[in-house]
Amino acid sequence: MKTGKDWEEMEQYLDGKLSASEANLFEIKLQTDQQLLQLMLEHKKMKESIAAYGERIILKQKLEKIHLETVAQTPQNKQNKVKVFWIQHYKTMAVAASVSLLVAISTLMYINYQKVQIRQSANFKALRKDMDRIKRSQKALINNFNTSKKEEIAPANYSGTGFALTNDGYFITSLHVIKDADSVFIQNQFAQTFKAITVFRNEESDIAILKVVSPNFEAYKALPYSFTDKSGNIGEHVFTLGFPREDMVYGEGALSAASGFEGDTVSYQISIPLNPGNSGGPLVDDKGNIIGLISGKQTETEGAAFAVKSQSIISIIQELAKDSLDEGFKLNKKNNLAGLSRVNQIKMLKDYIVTIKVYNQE
Amino acid sequence: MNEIDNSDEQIIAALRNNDDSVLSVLYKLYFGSINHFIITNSGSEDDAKDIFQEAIIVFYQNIKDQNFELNCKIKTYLYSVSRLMWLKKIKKASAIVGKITDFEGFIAIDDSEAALIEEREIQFGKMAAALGELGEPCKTLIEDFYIKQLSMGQISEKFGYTNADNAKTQKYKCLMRLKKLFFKQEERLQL
Repeated sequence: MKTGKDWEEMEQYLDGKLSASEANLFEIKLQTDQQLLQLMLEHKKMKESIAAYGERIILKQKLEKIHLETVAQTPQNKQNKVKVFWIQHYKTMAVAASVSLLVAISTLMYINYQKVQIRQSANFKALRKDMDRIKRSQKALINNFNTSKKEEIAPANYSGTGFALTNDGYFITSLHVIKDADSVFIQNQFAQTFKAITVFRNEESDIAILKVVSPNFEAYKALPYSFTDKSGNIGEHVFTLGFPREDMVYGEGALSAASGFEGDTVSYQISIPLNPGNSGGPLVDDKGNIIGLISGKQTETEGAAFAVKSQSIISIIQELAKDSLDEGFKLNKKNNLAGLSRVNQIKMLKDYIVTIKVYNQE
Repeated sequence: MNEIDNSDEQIIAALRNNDDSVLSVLYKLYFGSINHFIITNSGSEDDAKDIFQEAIIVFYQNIKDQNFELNCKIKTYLYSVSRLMWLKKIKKASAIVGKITDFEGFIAIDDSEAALIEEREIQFGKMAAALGELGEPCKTLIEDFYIKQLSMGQISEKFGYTNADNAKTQKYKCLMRLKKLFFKQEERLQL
């Protein structure tokens, strides 16, 4: 290790503070003393680094001061910030503005469209009534001429939901759906319509069984579901599929009570939001068993709907087989829906659920 | 140095003459365009300030080096250096660098110059780190002596040493420690 004296000499040499002769002497020393040379180079580097560091620090301080004086204090700075914001975000803002414009326009269009729709359907109803009147006067005319009746295609007066009871053309629905019908048609998923006749009605349970009479109806292979003869449990998840509108609508909820409206023991109370047109649809449990048939809802109470118990349906059908029906019919006992996801259950079910279209002459 | 007629030659001459008042002239003339460039390319005004000051420092250090030759206007040079530094910064921040919107022509800063700029930054970082590790009172003592260039007498007065020799011994000890720390930084960076 070099002594303090050597070191001081070295520093003075680097600073150029040594006299010419002293410096000469020191340089000769450097040539012979490798350790001193090494030390000197290191120290030189250190000094330069510190100097560069210092220069930069001082320069930076000066620039900060200038920045404060020239940029930060100017009155336009505030204005600048707005400008800056605009420059940075104008693209985003342009996109946002066009999106909101689009939304506004489409909302307005949608509202307008809705209005038109409502007006159209209001018109539609009125028109239908007119059509009925025309039809009647036409009929009178036709009767006068003693010619045969022609089938007219007109919108149904009422509609509800129904589903296959057997694979060979028997369907079950609510009695109130078809109560005052002159004629009943069923319409399947593929918008095919078949004429049906009512073969059984039960006031007490509000169920009706229809039979398809159109010759073009093809029998199903087999039903994927079965009616359960066990009681449903309160709290059980249940769902239904029905036609409150043109398209099939899914609704789900729970079995909320073991009895129906005003203590009616042939029905369950369920908590599924239902609308006119849902009547006659199947009530299905998680495993895909049919546990009931949607019958209606209580108007004054929110969230209370009712379904006829499958047990009631089974016992009625068994009675029926004994007396009125010649051949009787067997209910499917095999359920293929257990263990499937809800989506797949619905895929399997949807072909067996139909719209019941009812025509009458008011 | 008067404003308005500040030709590039005058500015360079003033800087070489240690007339730092031209720094504010440079600031007034060119900060606006760099600010605009940085902000348009997703930076903030603070980013613009940092980048512009870095560019000025690079320019300043180059001008002080008598061998340096400026091949374009100062405006273009500052813009080019700022541009390079900003690109480097955003590349560090995210892997994806979008399109850079330019407002003026720029020259390519060649690799050797870019390397020099980077080397200076590294050295500065190492010294800052070493001084930070050194702690007080050594840090202030070293800064006072080597940067503020106070005399040993002033330093011994400031730090309350009985005489200049005492201060000198203290400075020597501090410098030895700083050296160790500084070269340790070097090793660390090489690892």
